[in-house]
Amino acid sequence: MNRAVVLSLANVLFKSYFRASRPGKKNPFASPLAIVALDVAVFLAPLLLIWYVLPYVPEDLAPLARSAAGQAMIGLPLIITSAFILTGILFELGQGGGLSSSEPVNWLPISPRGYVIASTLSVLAAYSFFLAFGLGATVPLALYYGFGEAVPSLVLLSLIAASWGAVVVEVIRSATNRVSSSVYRRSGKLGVAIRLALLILLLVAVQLAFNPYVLYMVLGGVAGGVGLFWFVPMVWPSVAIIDLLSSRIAEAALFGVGTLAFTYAIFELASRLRERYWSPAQTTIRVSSSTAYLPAGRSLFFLSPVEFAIAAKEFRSFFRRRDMARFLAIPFILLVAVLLPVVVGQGNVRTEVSSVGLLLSAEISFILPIMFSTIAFGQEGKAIANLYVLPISADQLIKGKLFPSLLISIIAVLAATGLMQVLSPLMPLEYLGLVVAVMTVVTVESLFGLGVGSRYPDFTLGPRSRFVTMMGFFLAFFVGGIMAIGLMSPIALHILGILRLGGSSFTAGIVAAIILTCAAGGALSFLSYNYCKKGVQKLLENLEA
Amino acid sequence: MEAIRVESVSKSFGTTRAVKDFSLIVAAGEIRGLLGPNGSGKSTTMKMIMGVLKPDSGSINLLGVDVLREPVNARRMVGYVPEAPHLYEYLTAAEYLDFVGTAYGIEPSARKERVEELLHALQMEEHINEVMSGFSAGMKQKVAITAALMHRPKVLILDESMNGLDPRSARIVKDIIHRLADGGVAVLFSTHVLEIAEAICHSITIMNEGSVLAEGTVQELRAQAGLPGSSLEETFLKLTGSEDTAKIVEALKL
Repeated sequence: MNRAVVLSLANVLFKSYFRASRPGKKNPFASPLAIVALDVAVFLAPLLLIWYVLPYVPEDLAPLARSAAGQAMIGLPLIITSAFILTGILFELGQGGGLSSSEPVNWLPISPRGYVIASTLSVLAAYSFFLAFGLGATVPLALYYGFGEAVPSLVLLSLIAASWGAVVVEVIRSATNRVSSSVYRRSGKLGVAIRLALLILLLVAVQLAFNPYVLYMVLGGVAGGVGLFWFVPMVWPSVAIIDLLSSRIAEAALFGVGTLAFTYAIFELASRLRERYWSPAQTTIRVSSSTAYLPAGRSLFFLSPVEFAIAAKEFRSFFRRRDMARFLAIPFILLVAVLLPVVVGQGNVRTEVSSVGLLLSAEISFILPIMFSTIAFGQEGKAIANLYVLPISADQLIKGKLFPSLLISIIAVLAATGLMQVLSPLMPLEYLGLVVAVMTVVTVESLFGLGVGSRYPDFTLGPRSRFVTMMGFFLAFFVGGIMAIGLMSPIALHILGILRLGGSSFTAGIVAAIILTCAAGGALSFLSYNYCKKGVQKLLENLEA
Repeated sequence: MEAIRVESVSKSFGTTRAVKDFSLIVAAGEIRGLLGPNGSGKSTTMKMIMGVLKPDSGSINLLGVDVLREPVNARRMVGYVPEAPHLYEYLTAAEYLDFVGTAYGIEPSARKERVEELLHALQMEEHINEVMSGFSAGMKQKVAITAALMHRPKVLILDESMNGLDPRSARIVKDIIHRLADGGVAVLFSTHVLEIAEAICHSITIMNEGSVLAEGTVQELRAQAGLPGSSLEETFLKLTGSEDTAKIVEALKL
């Protein structure tokens, strides 16, 4: 393995990540030096802030704060790994089969091991701000409360934990290639469905395996002396820190060495998978055994044939493209992440189920539509040119693009609220209020997301493609998040007030909350539609893809 | 009758002036070749005629429809095959053509008839229900040509559309172009293969650095270049000032 080649490839992948979405424009972060500067800033900001605040913590809270400092040190590696994996699933797997098989690395003399190291380094560099921020927030706590001697080990173990996340992303990349090519050989509509199910299952399983809540539970068992879960390698860096904080140097060293061994094991796994499933085989996929052409001319009562055709194309994109499976996996990941504490936790079941159900409904009604609509234009890639050359108006495009996002989101939120209602029924009017609120959020977020997606599309289909620029992503999640909180607040506060404070439901309160939600939702829908329409019209004026 | 009228169109990308004060008239039934070196502005011009790129100045009319004001109406009359067709690769050829046919408002029965005859002519009927991600460049090109022709356009814009076609299909496409022109369709045809241009086009416009360098029939171009009896290749190289290729190759020391 040639070190210069590996570093050069890492540099190419790193730059590709930052430049791909903005061809021809200079990205200030597309250089290792800029990333180092950003990391230093992200590290120093929380460090200085916390260091400044700590002397003001009251004396009687000191034992609690000291304990929290220890917990932060123990939890940091777990959170870092999880953050790298989740971000990796969201942003690093956006590459279709055709591109994977035509990547230059496939025909250049670069070994699978070399590729895995280079890709790991590039992902580590691209998301190093997670590590910098985590350490910036933890190190001052450790130093202030007398855990200074453990800080070098904490830094090292956190770095290793970050590299786990980056390597696991490589494992997922190869595994999805494997699922993709083997299932597609079977072909037909069933093959498409099986592939989608397997990809979602794979992404959810990985997310579950590195879920901080699960790992904290495991850690609790180990820390409590139960010792039941010592064999779960994902918690070894944290166990090493626990031992260090308790001055059990030999045990700490043992788990430290174990951590290194596990690092090597997953690197080896990633390299072997890469070697075996180097690139997905481009297979001929026959959706129907017939060679006859049967034209479809469907429409729905509120969608014209053209709008229906656009919507059908969008659905096929979601269900057939490997790089879209990660988006369909998100609701399942959310479901697992949010429901897990309820399933394994203890407490007032009604309060827990209703609170978590409320949180889940709110999350899904926000995240799903904003995610699907912001990527609606970018995911077209260069094929967006089809929409420019065909006689399709902005209104038709908006309706066609909006329908899949709305339908998938509505099904998901109705399922979430329905499940919540079965497990822990709300009063009918409260339930109606909740449904009105989530539907309003879905509508507003879909329109707003489409507006953002048309203004900040990322048409790059290649390594590190995201379908929406980082600016668009942050704008959508920040403004969209504020709108979702605002729209959910009246109903959520009413329901939570009843659940938490034990108050009784009063009709006037919930009716007022529903009216308020509808009024705000109507106003925001109108504004979002105008924002969306102007964005789509502007997009259609000039082909920039 | 004028089918395509481009008047004093200019387009810049940042500081680069891609097209400068460009004008062109193509009559109904005429096959006009648009030639020029790489980066001369051919594709940009064709995209502006299609209404997918907005010119900085000038006007474009297709059969009396102002492309800048009514781009959607203008596109109903045009068939366009891009240089490298970016199709929806996760769709089957049938699904893609259905999508295109619906956008053009073609009834399913007419769509079936036209798609089947075009795909049969281009030997693609066996692949109709295959997902296009597995298609070769030539197969994608055939689907793009079918999509451009299925609504019986009055104006046809072909941007290096022969790329990747096998000789039989290329011949069929040439014959189709001639037949469409005989039926009154205006064709704007761009290619780097000068033999094809010579064989197909009634007249030729040569672009260089965003402007019209020369215009006319092949005979007229030869006369303009001062090379009567020469090939179109020699004429083109002379007109674009790039005839001294032998010295360049010699300097390579290969």
